[in-house]
Parts: sequence; C-alpha cells; structure tokens
Amino acid sequence: MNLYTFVTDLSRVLRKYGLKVGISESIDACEAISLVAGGGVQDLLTAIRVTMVKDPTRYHLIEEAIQEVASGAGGGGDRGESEGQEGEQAGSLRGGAQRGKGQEQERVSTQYVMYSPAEALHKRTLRPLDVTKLRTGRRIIRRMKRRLAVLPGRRSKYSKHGEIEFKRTIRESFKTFGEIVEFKRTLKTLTRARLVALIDISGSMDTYTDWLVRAMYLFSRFTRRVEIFVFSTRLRRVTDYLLVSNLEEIRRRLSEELDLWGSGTRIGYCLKTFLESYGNLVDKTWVVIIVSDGWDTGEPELLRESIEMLRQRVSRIIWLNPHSDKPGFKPLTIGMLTALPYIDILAGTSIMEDYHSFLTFFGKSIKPMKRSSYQARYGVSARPI
Amino acid sequence: MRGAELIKNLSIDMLLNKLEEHLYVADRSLATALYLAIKMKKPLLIEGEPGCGKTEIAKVLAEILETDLIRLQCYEGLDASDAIYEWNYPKQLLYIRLLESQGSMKDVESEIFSERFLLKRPLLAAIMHEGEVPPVLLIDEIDRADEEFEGFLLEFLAEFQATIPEIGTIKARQQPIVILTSNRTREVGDGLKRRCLYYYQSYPSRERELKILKLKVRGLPDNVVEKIVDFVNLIRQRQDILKKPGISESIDWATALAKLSAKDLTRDIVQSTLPCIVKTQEDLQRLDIDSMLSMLGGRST
Repeated sequence: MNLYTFVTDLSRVLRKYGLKVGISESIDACEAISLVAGGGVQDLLTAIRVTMVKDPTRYHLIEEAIQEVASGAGGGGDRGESEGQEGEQAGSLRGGAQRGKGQEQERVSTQYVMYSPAEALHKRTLRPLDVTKLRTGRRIIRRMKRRLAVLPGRRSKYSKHGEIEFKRTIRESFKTFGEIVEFKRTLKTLTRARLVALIDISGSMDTYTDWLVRAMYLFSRFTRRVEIFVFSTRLRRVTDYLLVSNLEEIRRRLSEELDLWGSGTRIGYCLKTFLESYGNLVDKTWVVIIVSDGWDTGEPELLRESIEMLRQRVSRIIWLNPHSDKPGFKPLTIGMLTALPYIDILAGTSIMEDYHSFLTFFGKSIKPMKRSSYQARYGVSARPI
Repeated sequence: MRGAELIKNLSIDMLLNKLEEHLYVADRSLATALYLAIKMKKPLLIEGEPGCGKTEIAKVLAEILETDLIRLQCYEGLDASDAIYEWNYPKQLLYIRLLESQGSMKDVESEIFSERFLLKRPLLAAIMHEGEVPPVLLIDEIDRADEEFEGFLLEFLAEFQATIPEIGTIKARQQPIVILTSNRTREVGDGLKRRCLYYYQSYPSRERELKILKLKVRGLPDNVVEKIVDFVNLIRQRQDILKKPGISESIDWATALAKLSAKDLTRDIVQSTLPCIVKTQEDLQRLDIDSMLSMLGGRST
C-alpha cells in the first residue's frame, strides 16, 4: 500500500468515526509521514495525531482506524452517504461478479465480523423546527439572559459605588458655580452570562424530541459564549452543529451526524466526562442548564460527586425537567433526588415555550436575579434529602 | 551549530537532545510535533492543562535556534491593532510641533506616517524580523482571545503579511515559527485547528516528572523528590480538587522545599508549603495531609 492510498483510506475511516478530517489534513499527513519515515511506529502515530486527529478525546481511535485500513476494510469502509443510496444495488452487482470467484464470503466477513470502536448507537430523522415556537422562544431566551446575568455588560448606571464619572461630575458642578461638591459614580450593569447546556437525548426523553431540538437551537443563541452538549450513555459536544444560520442544515446535521438518540442514560458518568474533558471551560461566570427527566441507569454516587463539583465551579445550575409541568409532580427519580440539593432552579420545559409561564417563574423584572432568591421562591431544598 | 544550520539538518533525536540540554524534558511525541512544525512550516497549536510547560517550549525553542522569541499574550478584548501595529501619536504630535516651529511643513504627511513613527506590535515584529533564523512567534492562551481575533489570525497565519494603509502591504521575508497555546477554557475554532498542527500536552508520566524535577531543582535528596512527585500525582488523581497542580507547581514546591533544606516530607513542612501547589481555599480544606502522607508511606514501602 503506498502512502497516498494509506492516508486517503485512513482519513475515510476517521471521518466515519465522526472526526473532521479534510483534504488539507490529508495533505499535511502525507507530508508529515514522509518526514518521519524510518523513525518507528511511535513517530508515525504522532505524525497522524498531530495532523489528522485534533481532539485528544479521540486519540484512541487512531490505532483502531489503522487496523481497519490494514485489514482492507478502510478503502470501502466509508464510501459515504453519497454511495449509500446505491449501496445495496452496487453490492449485489459486485457480489454477483465476485461470486464466481468464490470471494463473496471473505468480503462479508471483513465487513460484519470486524470489531468497531464506534458503538451501535441510534440516529434519528428529525422533524423541521417550528418557526412560530422559535419566535416565542427567542423572546424568552433574551429575557432569561438578563435574569441570569452575572457579568457586567457595556452599559452602566449611576450608583453610589463604582468608577467616578467625570462628565456627570463636571455637569453637576455647574449648579455650584464650578465647585465640585461630590463625585458622581457609575457601575456597569450585569447583562451577560455564559451558558453551558447539557441536554439529555436518551430514550426516556423520546416524547420531547422536537422540543429538545428547539431548546438546543435557542440555547445556542443565548449569548456569544455558549457550549451545547448532548448526552445519553456518552457525552457529545454539538455546539458546532448549531452555529449555522440555516434551520434545515441544523436539522440535517442533528439527524445525520448525531448518533446518541434514544439510548440509555448515565448522567453521572456524562457529567464526570464533561468535568474531565471540558472542566477548564467553566468558571463562576457560567450558567449551566441541564435538561433531563432524571432517569439514570448509572451510579447515583457518581452523579452526586460530579454535580457537587460542578456546583463549585459555576455560578448557577438550572435543571429543566419536562415532567415538572405536570400537576402533582414530585422529583422522585434517582437522578433528581441526588441532584436536587445542588441545583438553583428546577423548572418545567414550559418556561421555554410559553411566555406567561416563563414570567410566573422568573418574574417580570429584567434585573439580574440574586442567587438566594431562587431557593426561597421555588422551594428547592438546600439540604441533601 | 548555528540556528540556520540546525534547522537545515534537524532530526527528531537531535531536537530531543537539544531540548534536554536546555533543561526541557520532552516526550518524543512532543519533539516529533515540533520537528514537523519546523519542517512543514506550519503553526503548532499546543493544548493542555495549565502549568504543563506549553509556553516554556516556545521559549526553549527560541533559545535552541538562537533566535528571538516574540510573544503575543491574548486576552479578552484583544484586537488587531494591539497585535499588529499602532502609530506613535505623541511622537507624531511632537514632530509636527517641531516642524511648525521651524516653519517647514512640507511633506509632513509622508514623514509622520513612516516607519519611524510605527510601533510594531508582536505580529508585525514577527514578519519584519531581520535575521538569519526566523523568530519564534508565541501566541499565548489563544482561548482567552475573542472569536473575532481568532478569525483575524486565520488570515495572518495563512499569508504572513500585514497591510498598513499608509505604508502598504508588508510580507514576511521568512515565515516565523509559530506556536499557539491554549488552556481549553473554550474550544478553539475548527478553522484555526485546520491551519495548525495539533499537540495535546497532558500531565507527564512519573518518570518524566522525576527527571524534570531533578534537572530543574538542585539540592534535594532523591527520596524527597520522589515523594513530591507521588504526592502531586495523588492530588491530580482526586476528582474533587478544583485546580490541579501542573509541573510548574511541582517545580515551585520542590524549589521551596530545597530552600528550606527539607530532608523528608513531614506533616509540618507539607502544611507550611502546601500553598505552592494547592491554590484555592476549598482545595486546601479538602486535603487531608496526614492520610495522604500515610498513603505515600505505604506506597514507598
């Protein structure tokens, strides 16, 4: 196998595993591999890692991918969606041609018995986003941003504390014939926050799929620094999928490229992964919104440890539970019971859909809410249950 | 061997040796990444935990190649004018006053917008660098800069040129060796990653950390150095610690213990020097020194 075939096959396999490997990466890889030629396996792996796999959480895929290429499945492994439609037909034609040579069985075995590190996860065809509901949602999310603000924005207001405002001080001094009696001061108003949304897309949330997609879209428009993650048995960052303006493109990407829909839930494990891989991302200027029904198949203790850690790092944790809108709701699922002491607000999903519901929850003011006020208003217990 | 010659005859092993000569103990994979960045003339983006020697590598590389290190520290609100150039307004004003007093205001515009009155910021300094060996341009903590600046960098890193309307376009005579670092406080955009080679610097292995401490800190008995490394590793393994100590913290701690001429890690010494590695009040409260020291004791026996 020559270098170019190897790199092309490898990039195909890596793309199949969900990595972004473009032509420029392949060109770099060819150059890098030829530069380290004769240096041993470790150098070869480093060259591939440095040029093609720019995500440390996916390094483990390299060796698997190389094995797949070496076993010969890589070449046809990802002929991609473009060939997918004619795949069966072409397969049967190829099969027909090869049957005479007695190679059919071998071809099948390389394709189906082989181990793949990409788990058998589920994709889902999503419905288009409802534009009318998004309009209300945008209005709500703007208001929510003001209520959850923890960072000073551009505007300022007069205050007893803060920086001296010379313009106003001089203007006021005219009243006393140019004598400065007191300094006027301004403080920046809190209007900004940064948001991490962790959205549960496991099987138990199936009924709310449309809402979840809308929520992902809306949260991604919350402010400039936003990170959106989805989780079920694993955690995946989807911010990039959502940062395009075309709604259809977002729907297509979430349908075709996201494969975590409808599996089990390991909230604790996923929160731990978040803290380990993206822990540096968040600090006290961040708000975390977790959307989940709290059905957890993982260990509650792990969830408790992880959410306690998260609590220390971020300014606020808001938990949106779709069942919370139902009359007589009590947070009794294991996940909810464990997380409850550490969250600031527990609300239903209706606050993102209905403006009045949002107002009853967050109040009519647009001033930033104080942290203590949440717990008093919504009766979330501050003590472990 | 001079810098230019060194770049020409560079190999991975040679780079590894040179790094170690300059007291930087690197993995072979890091040396390979640096070697590729130099040979392929591509920027190298190094991500990793804070305090793992990302910035240091650029400094050491500049020393090895005997060239200048030009550093651009990124922060929120950094814009292109801070990074490329600014006109020296006070100097221009003074010059105009001088010309006024002399009564010779002819050609004043072309004179005050000349290179004499240009304040070169790091990116311009890097492309206008005159020397046999290209400079090392360190763009530090790129994750702290805004996305707009990152977008601007895309163009700069592709073309290595800057346009000043009054003077014209200045293109780099020789492409600088660019090293970008990020602490992953936000994800660096795909566009930038695509233009760079990528290396992830994690915490070092026990053996490598021992080697680093022995190289950097003199006058500590071997058993203390080993205990330091084990102690720091124990802290790193704990999930509940907010700010995990990096190598720079280990070095600080070891230096502190060397200054105190410590012969062993005792409870009192650890208690008084722990702030060298644990830097938040919550973390300090969470650590039970006795139990950690007893774990170390158990481990060494």
